[in-house]
Amino acid sequence: MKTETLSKWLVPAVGFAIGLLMAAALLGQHASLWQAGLSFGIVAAYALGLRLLQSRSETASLLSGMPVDERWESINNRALSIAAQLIAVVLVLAFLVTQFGGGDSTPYAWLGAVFATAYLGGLIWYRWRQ
Amino acid sequence: MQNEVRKLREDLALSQGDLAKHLSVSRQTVNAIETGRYLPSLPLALAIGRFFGRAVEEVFHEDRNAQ
Repeated sequence: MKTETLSKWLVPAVGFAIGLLMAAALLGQHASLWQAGLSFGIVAAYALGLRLLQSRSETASLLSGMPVDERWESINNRALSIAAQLIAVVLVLAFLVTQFGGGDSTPYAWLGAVFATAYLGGLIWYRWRQ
Repeated sequence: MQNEVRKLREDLALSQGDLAKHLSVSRQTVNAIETGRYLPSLPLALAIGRFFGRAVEEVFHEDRNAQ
């Protein structure tokens, strides 16, 4: 199988796999077959929809991990940057609110640590390479 | 930055889609470059210059009004 064909079907395949895992997790929690099927269907439809729209829509192509050109890569990087900054703020706020509320803030601390490590790792990696 | 991409393209009677095909980018990207909303990378700027048979600085130049 060619690499291009493989990458075209990678996102739908991952989507289907995630859908199956979600359905299995729901069934494991004694949810009804209908609920599990719906959960799988939503994720699978999203993944399949992206694949079908990939050749017609540049946005769908980007969401499938295949930006059509450098401008779309730039758009993707900026959008990711905004999303990452927002997540960082939300994580800090969630950590503080939970901490002051007496709740368990460990999940937020872990997520924050992963975020910070990934960011610093990225900084070091690209600083070294560029 | 300003550029002469639209003028050069129209001189050759090419559509944005035609130029996009030659440069392997989307038509919207050509439009964004022509209107100055997107500044192309150096490799793409070089490809544009090469396509029109011009030096990059003939196609892309500083916005003198902005200074």
